[in-house]
Amino acid sequence: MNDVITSNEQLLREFILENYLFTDDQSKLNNTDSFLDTGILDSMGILELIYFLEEELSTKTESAEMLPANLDSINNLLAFIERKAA
Amino acid sequence: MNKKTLIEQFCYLSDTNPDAIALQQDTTLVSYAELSHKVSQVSALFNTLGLLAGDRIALAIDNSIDYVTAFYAAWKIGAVVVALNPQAKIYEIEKMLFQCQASCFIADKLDQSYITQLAQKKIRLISLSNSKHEDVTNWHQAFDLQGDSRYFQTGKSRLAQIIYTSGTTGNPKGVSLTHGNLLSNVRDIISYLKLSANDSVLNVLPFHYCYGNSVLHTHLYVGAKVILAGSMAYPQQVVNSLRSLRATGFSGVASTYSLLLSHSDWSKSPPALRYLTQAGGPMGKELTLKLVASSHEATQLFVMYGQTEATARITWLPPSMLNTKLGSAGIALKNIQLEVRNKKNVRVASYQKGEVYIKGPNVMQGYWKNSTATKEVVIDGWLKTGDLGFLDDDGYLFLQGRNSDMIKVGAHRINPLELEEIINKIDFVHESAVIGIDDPLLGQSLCAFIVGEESKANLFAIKKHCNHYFPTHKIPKDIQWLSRLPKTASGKIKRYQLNRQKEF
Repeated sequence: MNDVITSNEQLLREFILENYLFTDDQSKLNNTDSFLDTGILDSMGILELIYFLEEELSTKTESAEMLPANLDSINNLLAFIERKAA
Repeated sequence: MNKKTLIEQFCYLSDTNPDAIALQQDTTLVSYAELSHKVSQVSALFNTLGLLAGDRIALAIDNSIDYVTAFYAAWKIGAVVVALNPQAKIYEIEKMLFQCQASCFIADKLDQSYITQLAQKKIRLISLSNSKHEDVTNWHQAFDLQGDSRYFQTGKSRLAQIIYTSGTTGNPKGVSLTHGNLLSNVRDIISYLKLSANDSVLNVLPFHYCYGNSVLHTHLYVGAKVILAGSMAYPQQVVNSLRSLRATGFSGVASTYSLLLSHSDWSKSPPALRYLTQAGGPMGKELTLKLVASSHEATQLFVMYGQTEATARITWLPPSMLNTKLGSAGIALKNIQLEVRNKKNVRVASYQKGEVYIKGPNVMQGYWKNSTATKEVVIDGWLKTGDLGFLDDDGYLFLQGRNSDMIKVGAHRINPLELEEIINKIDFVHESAVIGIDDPLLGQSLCAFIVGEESKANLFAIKKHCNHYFPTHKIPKDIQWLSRLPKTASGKIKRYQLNRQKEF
């Protein structure tokens, strides 16, 4: 029996799709979409996102790291998580 | 004392202080003269569209140089500004456009789906994003025009703004403010904050609410600078900007400061600000003390209270009294009379709890075309605020909640009935009740109790449905399923019971 390992990408996409786009439909979110520009996340949303990163993806975001470059899209988040894990 | 209305003062400053910077957005600086020129070009555009003094010009524009330009251009022709939430969906926007019979609607972008029906109502449409639609005028055309330097002579009794605000019954109501209302409140605020042309405020507050509105106009009135900083999504960036741009002031609501303290290096190296202001709901003693303790020694915190129906500001707490009167909303502004009255409309003694009533030049004219609702809150010139509290012997006000079912999430007033009406349209929902539950950051957050078929798909459907009609802050965070709603004998929903249910 194969264990299904859910990747960081899948977990992040599911988190955003379910909580901010209210859908399971994967086509509604591109990994390059800017959360700020598209209005998907507001300041509360960003806070919920960093709690999610800490709880589910073992990545703690320091205050100084709360920047769009690290958090503003799925791709930015994946790169950030990888850098922190290294 | 300067008695010029806000638009008169703006025109005056662009002649006397032309090079002083009025606005900054990212690296773009706009001087008073440059802003005045843009304003005169947009007012020329308004003239070509046949807009007249007294017309309602509605805006749904994010905080920006364009927003301020549109605003003052409307005043230049003597029109009434109706600034709407740029995140609002057409469902809400239409209601307000039609209620105030707007002659013009200016938006960051206009969707094809509703352009025709708005144009049919003879509403001139202006889009900030280029549109090829024949019924839409492109904003950028204004800047090819010669500026029109004339301006409509605005008396203090002329209507300046309508600000829509939620109540506990019915649709949002249009708080109507004259130039006199704005001028009196602006002058009082300038006086206690000691604002001058040397100040620059970094703004994160939405301009379409009364707090952000007053931050904008007070600073422009003294020839100061307004730095347009976007939102609090990235608190560290905001703090970095406060330092690098050498702002002298910052304004926030309670959650703004909570975010600053918990998600930035503010405490390690607080920016050397002259003033911080806080309004939009109570901040709580602990957070207030923490903010003061972690701020720069030269920074003074001004705690304030008010509401849209009072233009903006009703009371302020002098920083020197912050510790002695911790938890107080402060003393009434210079020209405002404040009383606490019981349910029989009789003034009560100090330390007796009752409802706050105020009288002064800042009290609104009324709700636009809604004399029934107006008569309920403006009585013999006194404004019944709906806020409960008491005065101490020194005249300091201590607030203790509100007189209604209205919910406050962050700084947003939300009428639960509006949400329920929309949720109840969903086919699998039999009934719903929306309440506010305590939230450590926002004061309250929204919880919807649904009598209907429970499923994950249905949960998504409810949120998506709300998302179609309302901006993000009005979408219930929490959805609970019930077999029935608790009600009184007369069929009224027992909201307090739902609240207690949520605690478990």
